[in-house]
Amino acid sequence: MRVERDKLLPYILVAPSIAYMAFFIGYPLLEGVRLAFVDEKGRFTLANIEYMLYSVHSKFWDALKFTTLLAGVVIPIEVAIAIALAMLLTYKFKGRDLAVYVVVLPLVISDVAAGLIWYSMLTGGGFLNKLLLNLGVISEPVIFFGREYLWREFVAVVLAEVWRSTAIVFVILFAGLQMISGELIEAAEVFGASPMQKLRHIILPLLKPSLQAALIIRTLFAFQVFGSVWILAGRDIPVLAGEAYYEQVELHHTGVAALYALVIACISLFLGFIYIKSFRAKYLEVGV
Amino acid sequence: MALLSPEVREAVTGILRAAAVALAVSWTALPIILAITYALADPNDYYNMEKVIPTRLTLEHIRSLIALGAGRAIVNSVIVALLTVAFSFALGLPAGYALARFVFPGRDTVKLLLVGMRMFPIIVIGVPLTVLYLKIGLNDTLLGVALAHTSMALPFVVLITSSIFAGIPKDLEEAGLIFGLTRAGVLLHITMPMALPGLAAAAMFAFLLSWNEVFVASVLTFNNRTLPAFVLVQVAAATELIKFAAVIIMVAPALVFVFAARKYLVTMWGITLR
Amino acid sequence: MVEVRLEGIRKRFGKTVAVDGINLTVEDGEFIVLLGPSGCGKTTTLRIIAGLEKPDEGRVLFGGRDVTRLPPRERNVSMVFQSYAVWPHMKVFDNIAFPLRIKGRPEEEIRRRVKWAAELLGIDDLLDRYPAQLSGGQRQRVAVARAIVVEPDVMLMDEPLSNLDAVLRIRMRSELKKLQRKIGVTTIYVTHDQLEAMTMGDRIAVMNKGRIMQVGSPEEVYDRPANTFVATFIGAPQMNLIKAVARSTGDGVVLDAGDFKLPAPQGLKVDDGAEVLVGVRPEHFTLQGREGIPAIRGILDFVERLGSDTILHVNTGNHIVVVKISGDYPAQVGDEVTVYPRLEKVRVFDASSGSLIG
Repeated sequence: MRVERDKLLPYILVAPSIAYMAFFIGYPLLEGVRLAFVDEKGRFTLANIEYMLYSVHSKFWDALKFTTLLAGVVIPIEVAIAIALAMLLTYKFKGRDLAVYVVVLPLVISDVAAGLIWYSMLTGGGFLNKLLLNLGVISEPVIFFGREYLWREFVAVVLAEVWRSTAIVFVILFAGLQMISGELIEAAEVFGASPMQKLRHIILPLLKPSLQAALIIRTLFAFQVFGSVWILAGRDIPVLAGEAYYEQVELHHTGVAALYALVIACISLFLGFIYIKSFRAKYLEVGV
Repeated sequence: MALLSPEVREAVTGILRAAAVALAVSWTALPIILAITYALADPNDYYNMEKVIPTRLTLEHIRSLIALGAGRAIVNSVIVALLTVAFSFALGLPAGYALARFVFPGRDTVKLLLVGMRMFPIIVIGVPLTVLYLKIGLNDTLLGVALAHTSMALPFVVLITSSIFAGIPKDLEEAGLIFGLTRAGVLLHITMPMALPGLAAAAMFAFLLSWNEVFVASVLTFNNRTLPAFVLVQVAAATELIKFAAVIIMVAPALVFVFAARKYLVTMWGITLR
Repeated sequence: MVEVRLEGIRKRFGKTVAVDGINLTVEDGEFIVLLGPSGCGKTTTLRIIAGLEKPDEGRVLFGGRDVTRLPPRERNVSMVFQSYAVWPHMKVFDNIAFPLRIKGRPEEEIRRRVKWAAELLGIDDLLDRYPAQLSGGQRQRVAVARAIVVEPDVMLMDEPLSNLDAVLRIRMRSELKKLQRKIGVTTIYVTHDQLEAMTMGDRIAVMNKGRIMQVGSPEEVYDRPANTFVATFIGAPQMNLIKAVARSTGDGVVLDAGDFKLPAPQGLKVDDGAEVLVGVRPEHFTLQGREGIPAIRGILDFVERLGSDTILHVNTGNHIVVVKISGDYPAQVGDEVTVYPRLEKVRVFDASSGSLIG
């Protein structure tokens, strides 16, 4: 009797969590499919998907384009900065811990707040314009916001996103770097590698699992981008999550909004699948 | 470089490194500090283009923000975040403990499942939940938002707490058993006190996940807005200075968290994100 | 291959002084062992020689060239790390080839030299494997092969055997030593294991608290330890240090331990009544008395039977004298025993400074 209970105990402890998650993922997915493809009378319909893809009011293709473009611009910048930062902060120096806290700070700041922070930096009377005016670099404020300045708005969004989410990439790489034994890197030094050779031949290959993880997780987040874009550019720069929000809250097109959600879900599931597949580096699998 | 003497090289690398650190720190910290300063700026200073850094400060804009209804939104956000912490810990703590302490068939599957669920975007669940909540009377309620946020925080809580428990040597628990404690006694007198600081950090993490979430909160509420939803909808139309003021309120708990949980910060994110 | 000289090396980490003024010359082609307890500064000293740490004070000279401030890659050193530090993402061949590739040697030479090093260590059949597929001993060989492949000026080894099991460790001791003789590279070897030090080193530098206590051949360090630290750190069981008072008599100096008296070694110069420590190794006692050799009598407190040896703890009243006897000895706890020290092996240390005085 006692043995039976002991065997069951871990399952009893784990079950509520798994059940809760299964419900909150499974139900919305099923309900989402129903909302997207079934009309009020319970009949199968393609009206929502036709609206999303072809209506002049729908910005689906723009949203897909801008979401992808934003990811394509932001992620490489972030990875480059994060690698440099991780390398820089691996060296022990006075105040290093403080520097690390500051660098990861944006991680706990919401996308909405990040959008507002960069709004305060870039707006007509914001810090950057005032600074450059007073330094004499510019003679009148640079306008970043407004539909006619679409690409400047895009730059503002890129800045806010890079500022906000470089920390995500950094934290993963930094943690990965900490796990690499110091002797592996010192060995490269002793055997004659220059700092660049050390990075190329030892550190980056050993960091590959972390790099992969960081890239995929960051890409995953990139397809959910919403708050910062909505604050800085509204629908001038449409993104997938923003359109889902707009269709739901402003237009009450629940079916279309559900469809957007499904698109995001599919992209995420695909990326998540790649993530779990490529979870481990090849050399770790050998012989294990 | 090779032509320079070793001492000069050392000095140059030292200076370059310090400059790079200073640059990185300013890049992250300055926008926050400046946004907060602008949020406190006296309007005369703000609209004076020659004043790059406002010197006369005022709480006026925060007061205006509160007058717009931010006070209620803050209370709502706190309630939702606390409920999220409570639910996700009630469900997740036992699971985290089980994953750390028991070896059972299917454990790795459960872990992998959680890692996968953690990646599931909360945005996806918002719209379908509105329909469900309408049916069962949870629409526009804080409880409804908290339940949705729990599904976002739960996988993190399980994974973090399991690594915290795994970090407590099993020997210490076994020593407790040897010296006469029951399993429950061990949990109460040995495991929990040792896990507490880490668990507190994890709780703050869950709190922030909820505090920062905007999409689901905006979709699921209409009158009972949480702070980010309130800011997204109401503040967008307000004056610039009121927008800046929103930064202070939204960022404050995050800053407290980073300070309080600094010891766990990097390792915790190492766990949660990898 | 070069001579390595350390001049007044000092290094502190925060408030702790890791290395406290070390002077040491390692001859060209010599195998020297830095021996000491953990935290004595031996690894820091090695890392300073490697260039992985910069000393706060002092100079490091390789064949007269000041390398103190140079990074490791400009020193032509190689190193075997305690964890081996074999890169997991490279096959064995690429691990060993790495130092040559970095130096831009032609591919043909790389292949030849890797083959040479691998054959020397008996791992030429493993070149195509990843480290994860190797045993600890094999990984260790890869680390050594990588260290010798470039013909370094100086080879550094940081406790390279400490992660191996006991049998393998003993085999690798002699293999490493033979290898070093064959290629004649100046080698600095760090260990806390005195047996390793005694069997491998041409000379041993015994370290404690950041300082070198004594440098000498294994025989010298064993036979004439410079102070009580070296005396007790080397040799197992530890050397007996018996408190005694020196008394001048007509026949010379006598060391009075209360329970027994021993004649002092010839030429010992101490003040009458000076407090000394008499050092006798447990293996330097006999059971057979001879004319003129003072007997030490006592009650047997404890017996350790090791098979090949028997270790007796003899309580003489005020002292416990540990005696190692070859073979079995049929005595029981409580028996009275008499042992005789080999007088020529008796050493005398100053009681307050601990230095050898005779």
